[in-house]
Amino acid sequence: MTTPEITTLEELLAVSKNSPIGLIIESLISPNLAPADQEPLTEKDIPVGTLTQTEKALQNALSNLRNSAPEFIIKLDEISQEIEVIDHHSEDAIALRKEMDKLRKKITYASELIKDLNKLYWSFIRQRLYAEGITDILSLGIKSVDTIVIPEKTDDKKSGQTLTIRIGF
Amino acid sequence: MTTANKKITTIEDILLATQGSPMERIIHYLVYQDFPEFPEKNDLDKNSKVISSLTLPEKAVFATRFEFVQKVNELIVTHNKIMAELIPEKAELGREKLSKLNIEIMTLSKICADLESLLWTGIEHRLDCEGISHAGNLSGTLDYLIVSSPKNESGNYSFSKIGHLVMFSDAEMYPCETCPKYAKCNLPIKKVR
Repeated sequence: MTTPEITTLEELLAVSKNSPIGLIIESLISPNLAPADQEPLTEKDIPVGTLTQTEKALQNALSNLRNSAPEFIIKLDEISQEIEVIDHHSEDAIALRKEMDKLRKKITYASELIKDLNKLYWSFIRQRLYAEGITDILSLGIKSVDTIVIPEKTDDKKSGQTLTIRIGF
Repeated sequence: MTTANKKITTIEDILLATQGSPMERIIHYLVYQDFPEFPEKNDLDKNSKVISSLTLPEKAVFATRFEFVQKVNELIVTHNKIMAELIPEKAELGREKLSKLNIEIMTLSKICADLESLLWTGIEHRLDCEGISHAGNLSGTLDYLIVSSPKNESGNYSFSKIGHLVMFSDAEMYPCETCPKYAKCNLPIKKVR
C-alpha cells in the first residue's frame, strides 16, 4: 500500500479548499446538513433505495450553492442601484463596478457548479442503483428526506412507456 | 428535518463513507497521490504557452476520470468480444450479458463526462481568480494548462491533449485578485513521473 501524503482531515480540507471537490468533502465532514426534501411518499411512488452518505453530501453541497446564489443576485442589485445615483466617473463608482464584476463571476461560477454537481449527483445515484441490480430506471426523484423513488407522475408514464424494475442480473 | 451523516473524523472514515462511489477514488488520489501513468503524446503545438498547472484536487478528479475511461474501454473490448463470439445456441445468454455491459458502459461514460465538466468548471474559475480569464483556447494536460495555438479558433476547451499530463512544475502563478475566497493549496505536490 502506498504511504499517504495526507494524513488528517484538516490537510485534506486545506488541499481541496475552494475547489468543487472541496465543497463535497466539506459537506461529507459537516454534521449539519441542509434541510432535506420533505415531499412525502405517495402510494404510487416506487421506492428503490436510500441516499448514501456521499450522495447526501452532494445533495447538501447543491443545497448550499442554491442558497448562496440569490444572495449574490440581491447584492448585485443593491450595488447596481447604488451606482446609478453617484458620479459614474468617481472612484467609488469604479470600485463598485469592480465589485459587480466579482459578483457576476461568483454567480456564473455558482450556476455552472450547480449544473455540474446536479448531473454528477444523479449519475452517482444511477450508477449505484445499476450496480445493485436495479436497472431500466427512466425517471427518479427524492422524497421523504432520503428515499430514492420512481415518482408517481413521470414523463415516461405519460408517453406510454412501460417502467419496469429488474432486481438482480 | 435534516438528513443525518455518520460522523467523520479521520481519513479512514471519509474513505469508508465514500466506499464504492467515484468520490472514494477522488479522495484516494488526494490522500495517496499515487497517480497513474498517463499515455504520453508528443503533439504539443510549438506556439502553445504554459499558463498554469493543475492543482491537486484537479489532478485527483482527472485521474479518477482517467481510471473510469479505462474501465469503459475495457468493457467495450469485452462487449465486442462477446458480440464476435455470439452463437445462435447461446444467443439469449449473450444478449443478457451484452445488455448488462451496455448499462455499465452507459453509466460509467456518463460519470466520465460529468467529472470532465466539473473539472473544467473548477479550472476556469480558478484561472479567472488568478487573473487568467478569457486566456484563449485552453487545452489540458494533467499538469499543465496551455494556451493553444492562435491558429485554433474553435473557441472550445478541449481534452484532446489531456494525455500529456506531466508535472506540476513551477509554472508561473498569478495573484488572486478577483475572488477573495479563493486560496491556493500550499501543500507540496508529488511528481507524477
